[in-house]
Amino acid sequence: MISRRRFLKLAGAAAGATALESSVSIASTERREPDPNALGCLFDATLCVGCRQCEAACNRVNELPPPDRPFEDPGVFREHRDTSIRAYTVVNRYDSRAPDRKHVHVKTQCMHCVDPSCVSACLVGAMRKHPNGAVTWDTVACIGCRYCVVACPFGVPRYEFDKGIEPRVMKCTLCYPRLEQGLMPACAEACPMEAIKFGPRARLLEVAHARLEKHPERYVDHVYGEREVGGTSWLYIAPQSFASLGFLDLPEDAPPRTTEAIQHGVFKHFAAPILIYAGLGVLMAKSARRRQQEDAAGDGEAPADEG
Amino acid sequence: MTFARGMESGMKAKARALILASGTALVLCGGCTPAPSGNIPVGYIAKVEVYGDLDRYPVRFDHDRHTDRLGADACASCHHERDDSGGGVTYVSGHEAACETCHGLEASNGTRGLTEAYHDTCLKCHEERSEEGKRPTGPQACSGCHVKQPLPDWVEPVTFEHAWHIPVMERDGSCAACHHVWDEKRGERVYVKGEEKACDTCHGEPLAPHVKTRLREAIHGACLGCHRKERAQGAARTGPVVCQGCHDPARYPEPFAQPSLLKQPRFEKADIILIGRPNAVMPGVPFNHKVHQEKTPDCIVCHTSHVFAMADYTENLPYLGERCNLCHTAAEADMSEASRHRLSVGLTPEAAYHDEKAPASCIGCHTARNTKGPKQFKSCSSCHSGEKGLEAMRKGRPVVPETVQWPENGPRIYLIQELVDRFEPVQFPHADHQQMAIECQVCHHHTTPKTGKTPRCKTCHKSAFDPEQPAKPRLVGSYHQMCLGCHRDMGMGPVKCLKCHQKRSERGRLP
Repeated sequence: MISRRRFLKLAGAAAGATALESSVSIASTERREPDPNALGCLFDATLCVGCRQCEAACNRVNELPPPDRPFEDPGVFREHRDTSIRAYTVVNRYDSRAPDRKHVHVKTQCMHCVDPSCVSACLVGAMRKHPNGAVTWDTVACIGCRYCVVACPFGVPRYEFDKGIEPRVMKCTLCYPRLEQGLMPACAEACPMEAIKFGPRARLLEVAHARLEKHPERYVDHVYGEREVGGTSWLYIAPQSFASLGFLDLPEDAPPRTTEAIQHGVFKHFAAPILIYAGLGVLMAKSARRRQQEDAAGDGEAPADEG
Repeated sequence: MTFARGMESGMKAKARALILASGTALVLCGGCTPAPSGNIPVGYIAKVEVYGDLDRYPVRFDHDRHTDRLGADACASCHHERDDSGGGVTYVSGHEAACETCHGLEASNGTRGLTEAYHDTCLKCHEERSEEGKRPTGPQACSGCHVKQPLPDWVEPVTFEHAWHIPVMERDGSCAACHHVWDEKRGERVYVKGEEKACDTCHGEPLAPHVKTRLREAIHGACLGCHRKERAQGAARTGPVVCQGCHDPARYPEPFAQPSLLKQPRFEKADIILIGRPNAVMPGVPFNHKVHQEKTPDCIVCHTSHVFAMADYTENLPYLGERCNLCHTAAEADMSEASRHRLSVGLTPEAAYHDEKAPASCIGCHTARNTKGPKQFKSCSSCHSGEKGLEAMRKGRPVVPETVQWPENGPRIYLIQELVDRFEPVQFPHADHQQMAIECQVCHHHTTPKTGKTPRCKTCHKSAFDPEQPAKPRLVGSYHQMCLGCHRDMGMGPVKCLKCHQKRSERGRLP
């Protein structure tokens, strides 16, 4: 009989071999490029005046519950707010570093990543990345595992914990139903300053870079979302460092490239079954040989016992 | 003397770091006498050497100020040594040592820990003084000693010479120049003889109910306002107008104002310059510095305190550019601080030139003094004449703005009706803007005088989204960006929503 220690040793060796295989494949995963027709939004923090019309429009279009405080109330800026099951988008106020402006306002919502972590993490394909750039959630498929909530690098999706029956994952849809009808996202349409500019992502990038080039004194030279986590559909340009506006400093690689590489690597080339069966084969052979030896030894010893 | 006390308490607010923990004498004084006479440098307690990394700036302690305040008891207030006979502590003259000599970081053997010793001694004394009504008390709140941001080293507590000011005050027949009380009935400040109180009686923390100006601003406003006014009027002797004049008089004795000297050109400045910046909407403004220098009594008229303070000392001139960091140390943090107390920064350059209320701005000054500005600022282009105007000015010709032929173009008031479902139509005073800007292309940016056509905003900027031209703002966006952009940059014109958009009355709401 195989001892526990021996089994673990062998299993460890098998796992090591698989890991070796997967580490080779991690290096070979490819960066996912944005769809050429993908749409997106460009948010210009120098233009936003914090009127919260985007929040109001979002609330109206998505039929979310009415807010605790009216959208005209600037008092909400006193504390930092996050997206919630009742608000797909929120505007926050930050202190301006420029002497001529008191505040900088920044809108937060789902970034609609080019290579979304939530989609990768979803076990059942309830999260979908559409060719037009939107990342949406499907009520029928979802099993409520909330992996998407954990996976999102921006911490955007929210789960209706308070609902016993059919809880939903709540997040911005880039107004996917409206896009299908040829309309703009509600927030972009409502913005009176047009601080939110809607359009094809590739064109928006051109617009963003053109603005940075034209007014280098007005912006920091960075388009947030161009490369962060493999690129996002929402792009941001700002008058001061993104760190000072609550943006996270994220790597350029999309998280799914790493996680999927590890997960898929394990199963690549039928490696796992082969290794498991090979391991079992070795175990069987070894145990068989040992039994033979034990039997042989037992044959020699038996008469002595009897005697 | 009341005023002098006020001044000193004022410095507490202005320079919290400076009027410091009375109490523990921590600076190694090397044997001070019962009547110590200075020469103990300003030192720091809660030092890095003792405490390691600190969350806040080390506490600045001014030994001399404490010995001055505390008089004969000065040394005994803080210095002591263990008295073996009585079990307590006593003061022995000549045995003064720094606190850390005996007090370790942790309490041991009946000796209190260093932090505890500091806090007990300093705070207890400050609180006692406060209860006894003695001023200054010294800080009683944490941040009074443990400052987040230190003031520059040269900022010393101000000694206010009350006697020097009496002749000035009497010239006006009363002490009203500084002293006033609040008259509830009349709702204004009045001077009442015999009611002269120190500034911090009302302006000190907490502020008296009717008072809005904090002590620092009140004192700076009163002193500097008077000094500047006198200087601008050409007075032979006035008080300091620069920071160091009051705060560091030993190193920078104020050269009592000599108007002739002040009017000397300090900079190698071209006589005629073009004020402007690249990418500006309007062409630059040709400006005759020489004429302004001759016509104005003093540089300070335009170069307000902030600039002037730094420029006042000729010996500082070589490194004027570097002097900004005298006050603005850690650039970012301090700039925002500076903008909070609005030391002339906190204004865009545009606003600084245009603000009608600012006496130092072009328009403000010309309006207030009713001087012959270019056509009394009737239109933008009377100043903004660009390179052509510069040439004309150099040749000594009057700067005539280009007469633009836009006869009676456009409506007097243009109704913008884009958001009529929520707001009344915006009544845009087109004619007023025409008069101000003269050149139509300031707003109608595709128009040139040659084409003669002035397309309306609507012609190009549509309400609907055009995926072919994402860079082009839609109509509502283009209005807001154009109007607000200019209004914000200029510091003029409405920037609040309801200044242009009136809420639509229920009755008038469209079906």
